[in-house]
Amino acid sequence: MINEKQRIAKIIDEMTMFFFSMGAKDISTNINIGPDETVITFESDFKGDQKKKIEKLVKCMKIPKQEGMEEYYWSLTGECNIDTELSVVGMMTDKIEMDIKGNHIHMVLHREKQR
Amino acid sequence: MTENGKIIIEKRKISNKFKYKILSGYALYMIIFGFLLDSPLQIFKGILDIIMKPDLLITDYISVGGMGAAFVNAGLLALAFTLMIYMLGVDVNGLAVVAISLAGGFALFGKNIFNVWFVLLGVLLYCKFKNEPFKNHVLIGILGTAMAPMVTQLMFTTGHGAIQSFLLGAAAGIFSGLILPPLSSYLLRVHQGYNLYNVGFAAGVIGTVMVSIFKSYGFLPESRVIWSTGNNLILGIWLGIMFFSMLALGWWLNGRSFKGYIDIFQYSGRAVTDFVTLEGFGPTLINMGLLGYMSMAYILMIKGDFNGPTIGGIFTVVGFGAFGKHPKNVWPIFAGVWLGSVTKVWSANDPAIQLAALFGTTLAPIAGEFGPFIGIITGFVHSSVVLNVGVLHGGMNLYNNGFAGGIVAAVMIPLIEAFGRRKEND
Repeated sequence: MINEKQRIAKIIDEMTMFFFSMGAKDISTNINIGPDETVITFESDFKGDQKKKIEKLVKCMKIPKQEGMEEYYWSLTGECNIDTELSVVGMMTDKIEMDIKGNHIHMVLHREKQR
Repeated sequence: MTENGKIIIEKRKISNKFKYKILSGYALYMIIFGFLLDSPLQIFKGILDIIMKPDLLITDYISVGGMGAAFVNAGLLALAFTLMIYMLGVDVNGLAVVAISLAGGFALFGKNIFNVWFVLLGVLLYCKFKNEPFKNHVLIGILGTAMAPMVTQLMFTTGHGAIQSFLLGAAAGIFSGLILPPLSSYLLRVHQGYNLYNVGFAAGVIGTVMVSIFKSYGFLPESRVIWSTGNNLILGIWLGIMFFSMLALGWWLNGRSFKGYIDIFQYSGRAVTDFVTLEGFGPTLINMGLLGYMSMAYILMIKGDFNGPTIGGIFTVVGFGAFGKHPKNVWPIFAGVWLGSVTKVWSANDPAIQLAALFGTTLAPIAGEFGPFIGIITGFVHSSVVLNVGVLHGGMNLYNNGFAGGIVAAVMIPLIEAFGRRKEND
């Protein structure tokens, strides 16, 4: 897949903008590029009750992986500072783990290598 | 969900079989309608005329080949593309619904069963060159057949020898398809997804460059308006049945209810808003049916015409009902274009203005994001821009409103961002 590293960076851009939109002040990101998959881990805080935004996040992350859509739309992620493009992140990932404790979110995104 | 808790999301596969049946069913509905209107011989002759005669914007195939031939051409093309994406194993998401809807709609005024394949061949060559599966680019390729009239124009109207003309037309189509995927993906950033017909924007840019080169060699495409009238009753009934079936199917798939449909209104519609994967196929079909009736109501209200181009426009609104449009973000655009016709030098039912209202809904996400007032202004501005940009590509890009919409969004969004907000939220 071409531009693989840019695509990973775009996912991080998009998620970072999303955490900012929830009032985050403390965000950490880790990228691990393995032989079969790339794992991106986020730790972020958020401000106040963000029930609606987290529901939206879960909904978008449930979107099945769609390589055709990714191929066309990946460049949109992380570009807009008004709206989010979380559904494209959903289309670009294979498995997501989320853990929410109080006002802290731990999120792991798995992106398998295209065969 | 904001309470403490761990969630693991394993992605499910999209179920496609039923959706393919629905798409094929609507294509067959067009073919059957065509055969009910004219004899097979008339349809055959009409399709030959459709293939051989120029089809630059605006060429209504109902006038060129007859109503039967126009609908059989449209149904066959939609069916062929549906079969092609089925065989490639493409998931039926919102974009697939858009691609097939637009194929059927534009095959009533510019795309035909002959001129589209050269553009797709170009996209296939791009995939071979980049060593990527065709499956990943085929939907963009289908949408990219907006440039198909260029093929017809060069093959059948330049007056060179048959072989020379064929090669010229084929080369132009293939070249357009070859450069479309990277360009369309790149140009998304210009309008940030607020112009839904992004392929139209890319095709407009490509068309502008190519027509500029053609003009340098003395080839001047002539503008034309071939527009059928007087078929509102029969076409209105045909459309009404189609949209009723969408509402009924959507209601049935949604557990025999309209419950939850209203959730679609929460989305601005900016790309990527795929209602099929976000809200399900049932609510999406309800949305498509409602948008169909809304578009019909607008055309009847302004005393417009149901014909090839306007049905193409209605199908485009309906198709994008799976990918960003809903009544709440569409009405301000209709209102803006209509308001423009009250104050400007043209009338709401002039052919190009009827199309500007229907296709202008490419900018519906602006209304969805920034509210109806900004949406009305956007429609108002769009109706002027769209009448001025067609000359750049000589009518060879069927998605002229997508081209204009890209320009309007590229101007509006930075201005709204700059003047609309005073301070970054802390």
